[in-house]
Amino acid sequence: MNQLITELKKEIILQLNLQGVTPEEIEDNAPLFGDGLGLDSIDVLELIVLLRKKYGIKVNGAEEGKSVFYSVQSMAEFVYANQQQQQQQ
Amino acid sequence: MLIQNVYINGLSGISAQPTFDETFLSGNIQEPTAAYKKGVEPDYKQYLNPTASRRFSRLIKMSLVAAQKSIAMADGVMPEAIITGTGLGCLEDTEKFLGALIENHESMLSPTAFIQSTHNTISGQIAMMITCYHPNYTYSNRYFSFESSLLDGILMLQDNSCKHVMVNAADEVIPSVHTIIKRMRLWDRSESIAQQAGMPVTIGEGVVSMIISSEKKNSSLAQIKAYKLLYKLPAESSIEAQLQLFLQEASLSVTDIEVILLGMNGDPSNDCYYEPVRTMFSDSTQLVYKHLFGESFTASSFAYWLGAQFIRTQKIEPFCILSDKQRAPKHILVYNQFRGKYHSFCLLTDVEV
Amino acid sequence: MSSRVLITGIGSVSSIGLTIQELTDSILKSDSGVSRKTRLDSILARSLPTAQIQLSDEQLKSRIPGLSCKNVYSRTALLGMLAASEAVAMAGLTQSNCKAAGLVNSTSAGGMDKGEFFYADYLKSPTKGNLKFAQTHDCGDAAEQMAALLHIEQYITTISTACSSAANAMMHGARLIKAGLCDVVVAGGSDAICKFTINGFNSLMILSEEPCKPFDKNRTGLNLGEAAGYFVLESEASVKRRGAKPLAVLSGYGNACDAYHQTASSPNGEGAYLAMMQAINVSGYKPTEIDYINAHGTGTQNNDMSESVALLRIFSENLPPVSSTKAMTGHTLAAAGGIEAVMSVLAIQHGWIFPNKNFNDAIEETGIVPVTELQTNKTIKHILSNSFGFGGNNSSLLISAC
Repeated sequence: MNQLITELKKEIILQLNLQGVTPEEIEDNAPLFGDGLGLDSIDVLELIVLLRKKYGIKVNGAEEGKSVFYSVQSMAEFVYANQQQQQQQ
Repeated sequence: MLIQNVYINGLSGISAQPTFDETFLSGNIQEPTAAYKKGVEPDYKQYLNPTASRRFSRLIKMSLVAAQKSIAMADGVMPEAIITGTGLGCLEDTEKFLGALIENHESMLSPTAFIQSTHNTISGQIAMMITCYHPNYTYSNRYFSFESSLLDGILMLQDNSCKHVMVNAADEVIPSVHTIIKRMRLWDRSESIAQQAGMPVTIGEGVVSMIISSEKKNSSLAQIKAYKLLYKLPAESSIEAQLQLFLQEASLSVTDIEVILLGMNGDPSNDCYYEPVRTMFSDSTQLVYKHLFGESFTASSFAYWLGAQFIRTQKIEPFCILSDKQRAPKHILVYNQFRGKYHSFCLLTDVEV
Repeated sequence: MSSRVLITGIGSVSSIGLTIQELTDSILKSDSGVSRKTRLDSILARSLPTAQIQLSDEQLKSRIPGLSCKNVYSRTALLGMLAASEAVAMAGLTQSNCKAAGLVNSTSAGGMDKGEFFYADYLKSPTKGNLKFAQTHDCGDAAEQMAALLHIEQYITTISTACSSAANAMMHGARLIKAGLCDVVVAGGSDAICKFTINGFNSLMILSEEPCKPFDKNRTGLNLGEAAGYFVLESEASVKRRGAKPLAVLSGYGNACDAYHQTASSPNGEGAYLAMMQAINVSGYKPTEIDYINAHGTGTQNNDMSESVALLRIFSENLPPVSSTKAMTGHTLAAAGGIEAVMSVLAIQHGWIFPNKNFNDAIEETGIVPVTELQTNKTIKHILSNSFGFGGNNSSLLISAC
């Protein structure tokens, strides 16, 4: 899980072009939107593309995205759960 | 169109020359370092928050920074309209999205490039940067892109719906478009303007941001006294006749015009249209600029930057001179056209005229 | 110098009619052009409902006399030429009138329908690709083609502000007339559907997989369409000189920026509110005199909520009948303001209020119930027509009976 969290932080920085932000500066449980990193609705869409491209996971729109993308921790849990499901299939 | 009380109160330009820091006006001329006239860009970190500007292409960053500077020069006024002219729009993002679309067969496309590719992104981002709820327009029509923007701004000042209007021009070059333009033999023909032989005209990029205002200030750079756009010359008329009419309406004659700023670009099929004008104004100092700034749909905006600066400083940059009559610039006629179409005439004058 | 800006000609082409007559017939049947049929060769367009004009470029070209068979025309230019020439013919303009006229076009896609093909070839090799497809790519190309066809020589320009483009074009046209720079202006917008736009909107996740439901609480997004809509705007002096018969008056207009977000509209509908208020103020009429509002109403969660809030801020309990016609025409981007302005003139002429199709349940927070069936025999004197675009570019036109 820790490896996944670190990997996700790097991917988020890349996908959203967060120049000047390092993975160490992103707290696992800090909110990504509003306060925290201050991301917005376009970033949600970018993260949806990220999950699809990198992990093959589909997020069905911004509504589902709200809980999935709350923090890096929630993203990692979502990816992990989906990967488990994919392995079982 | 005769105009009352239109002053250029704020002005900023980012171009292939060091115009942003204005050292160009002290003779700091940039030799071309790239295959085209690439913009000399400022250090954006000084002006833009990196996280807030994470999505922005070069063109948008250039536009935002130029807008900041022109507003600051105009004592921080809130523009009551923001109008931008761009001939080709945000090419970097257009190419990014189109390329991804083709390569990924219409799947898993990132939205950022699409959003940033729309032509009105520049005007829209400027409005967000300064929280401006006022009218917001974007013109994109070849060699009238900037000119229509300026016309609309002048109309809004003249009908008193605005006191201060921001008028911008913005166009960028990307390598693929340079290649395509060369294939079209459009703006990169490796030819030079006479007497500027060392500097062939190629495609150029950059932005200009102006605050025009109905309020005269001590710091006003210049006035716009008359302005006219004519897509095609009437069959029964000539360029000389149109210019005579233009000057007559402003109660001026040819001899009153100390300086003319011409949009010649080295292409014989284009520059031939300037010859009758050069003959008509043979006693005026004649200037050119596209060998320094390049050619594009909005390159003419640099003529306005130059004209206003020359009037303000009362000094003409020697590298712009095609023919020198040693005349102090109080009345500058800016004339641009492209292969016999898109004629624009503007009379810039000293603030006290 | 200021006088009324009169509308003396209208022209449109869309998925519900290639002419004003066909549009009128479709309206009477409350037809919709939204379907699963696609002429556009796109994976997405095959899986989503769109409102396409089911004619090929060649078929469109054959309906426009005077075009060169050697030239390449973008689809956007073809749609624009068709609609604008109808407006010019309706206004009875001669070639001499046109020479001295202005053209204010608008588009968001421009010639991208051809540009996409060019770039796909170019990607294989920089020496490949039909250069003519690249030459028609930029926004200004359609205006040049239209000016050549219509013999307009004095002034041409193009506005590109996404979904508010055509409305903004009409505003610039009105300013030119009021300033005395032109007596006649052909103004409007045109957008052809292409892969770039349908994929772009899909990446924003705002395309509905069903026919759109403007203002419905269960709305899931918009349906893209293609269209062109134009006015001939004219000064009173010119109308009198020519003995022309005006159809309506462009009595008010407003543009404001939401300055909130690149793609989302503000929760309090600030830009929409300001644009509508400006249009009403410029007209000199009162909100209580508005007989019908042709809303932007795209069917997206965000726009319909934001627009509803703005409408209630202005009209509160006295909201006039309102509807969105996008369930009939699709969202035609830059052309939307143009075709909806044309429909507003028809509404005034015929006494219609258009149906907001596919509506069932009101948005809970605002409770607005649009008109759901075509209404006829109404007295329609003043219509507010809204067009709100990306980047927070909000425009509103007030069109009145003469």
